[in-house]
Amino acid sequence: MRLVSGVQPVSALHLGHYLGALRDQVSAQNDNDCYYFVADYHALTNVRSDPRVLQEEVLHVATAYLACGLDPDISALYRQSDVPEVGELYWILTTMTPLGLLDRATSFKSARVRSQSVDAGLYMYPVLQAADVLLLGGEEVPVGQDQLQHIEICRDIARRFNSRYGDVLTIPVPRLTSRPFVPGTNGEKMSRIHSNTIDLFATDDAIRARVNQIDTDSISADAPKVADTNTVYYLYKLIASESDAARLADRFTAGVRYSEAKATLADALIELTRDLRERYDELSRDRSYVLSVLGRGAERARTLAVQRMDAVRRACGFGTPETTA
Amino acid sequence: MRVLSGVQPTGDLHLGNYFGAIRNWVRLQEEHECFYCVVDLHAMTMPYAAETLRINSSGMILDLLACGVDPERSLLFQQSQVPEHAELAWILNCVTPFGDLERMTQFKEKRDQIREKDVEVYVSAGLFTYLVLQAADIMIYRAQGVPVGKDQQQHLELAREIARRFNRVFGELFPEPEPMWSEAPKIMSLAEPNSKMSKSLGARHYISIYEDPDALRRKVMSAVTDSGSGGISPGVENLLTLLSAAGQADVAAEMTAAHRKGLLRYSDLKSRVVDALIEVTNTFRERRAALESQRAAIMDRAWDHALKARKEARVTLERARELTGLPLHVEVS
Repeated sequence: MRLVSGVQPVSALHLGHYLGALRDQVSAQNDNDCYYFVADYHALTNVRSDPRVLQEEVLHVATAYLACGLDPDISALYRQSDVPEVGELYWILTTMTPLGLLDRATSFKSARVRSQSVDAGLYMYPVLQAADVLLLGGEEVPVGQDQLQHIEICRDIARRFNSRYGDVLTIPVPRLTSRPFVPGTNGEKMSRIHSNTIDLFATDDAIRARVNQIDTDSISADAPKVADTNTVYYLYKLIASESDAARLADRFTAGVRYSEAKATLADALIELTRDLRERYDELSRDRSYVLSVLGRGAERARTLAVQRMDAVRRACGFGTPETTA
Repeated sequence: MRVLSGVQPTGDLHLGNYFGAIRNWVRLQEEHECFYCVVDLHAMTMPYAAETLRINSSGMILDLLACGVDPERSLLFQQSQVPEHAELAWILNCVTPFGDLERMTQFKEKRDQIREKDVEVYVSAGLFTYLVLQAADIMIYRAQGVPVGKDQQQHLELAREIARRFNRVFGELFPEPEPMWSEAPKIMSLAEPNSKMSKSLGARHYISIYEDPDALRRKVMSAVTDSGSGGISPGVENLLTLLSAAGQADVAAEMTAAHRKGLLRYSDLKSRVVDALIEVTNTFRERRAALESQRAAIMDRAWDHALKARKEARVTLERARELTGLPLHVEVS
């Protein structure tokens, strides 16, 4: 299956990114044809202080994907804006996107609640997202439950295009991934805006320090505890084997000290991320390699994009009969 | 000054288009560096047929040449052949206030038209962000001047606001495009002189720039004149405007004076209008016939102009990418 999926450029990936999506995206390459892009056009809806910031973020994310095992010989990893055809398809798709679809998009509605002055980019965002997938002929789009609406919008637009112009676009299906809830140090969803993240490439000491900051209740040290509602246990369960998780759950019932549980979690996290961090550090020293991977990825993506745009343009009536014949 | 203007490929131009806008294009090229663009991407915002769009887009190039756009002086090309317009439009979306687009009068009008017409037809997101693409059309060439009529003033204001916002948020790049007001007359429908001349109203309402003399005579002779009220009726005024636009301002002035004295016979006015307009349309028809025989070469030249325009467009886009933090394009395809 051809998978197309975008990644937001961020300054530092955290465990929420890794456990929520990245890990699955990397393992999907074993039996799929994966196209992953760093969504820098999308990122313009959030203005950075300096253009270099965005470029660094893009590079950080690309480096991280490689460090976490994305194989550039198998999968294509590219920058969204290296495939400018997506802007062209974006415009064409806007003309067959009913406004009502965008009005109902929950991400826009919640942004509007947060701020009165939103830009059109945020509103049009799902159309660009549809263009990303349709341009490359993505057959499946890995999404979590909360993203289902966007893929539905994409399918709706593609169907409208095809019913008007013939079967030009592949209609993708969602590939529902579990996208587990990853709690941050205060128990809320791990996210930069909640200041509760544990960075994926943090040093061992930093990981230990962050784990020690996880909020816990003040039940006496030796009293029995409920594992399922505990952030330490919850995070551990996401990364440990079933038997290890069961063992820690038993310790909770028996009355574990939180310091012990936290040490168990920190050890496991350090073991999980140490290799990733080493590879990340190594790759970070070789920017030109990462850039060359992005270049190769863009070339592969553009091969598909150019072909598709050709068919799209012809179907929509662009160009003179002489030049399109 | 660098000037940008676009026209939708709607099929043959009519005299309302010519006297109201295109003739001004022809004049502007004497003093300015003009980019004239057949905006096929915009035409997609209302329902259309692909094959018709294709035919109309190349047809519009011929029409504009027939009207006197000079390809030696100005660039004349199709918008969709310069994909940088659409790419810049996305970037500009990110500095366009959502509320501003919602408030645009033309959007509200078209939205209501669509809603009245048919529940199956929907208001598209393209119609909503139409003006962002229009701003990109101007800004991609960093054009300083845009010929506008009164009904376009709000749109140009928006483009200026988008340019200012981009410059403030990302850095100085775009000049704020200035409106270039022209004296162009507003030509009304022959059969319904309170509405603008338009093809969508039906054949009785407009005169094509290639109108056959017999049809032209019939249309003018049956034009609405008196509405029964005193003074100059809109229909008569429209005929006088046409006469004067066709180069007979002095005759139009005489007839206006005669009308004031109650001495004007409408049949006289109409036959003067017919004669004057036939002369205009004859010229266009002859030119078009000559152009038709070189169609292939003309389309090649339009393609060539699109490439020239792209070169300019890429310079702007590269700078915009640099300021926004997008990577620079390595190759130019």
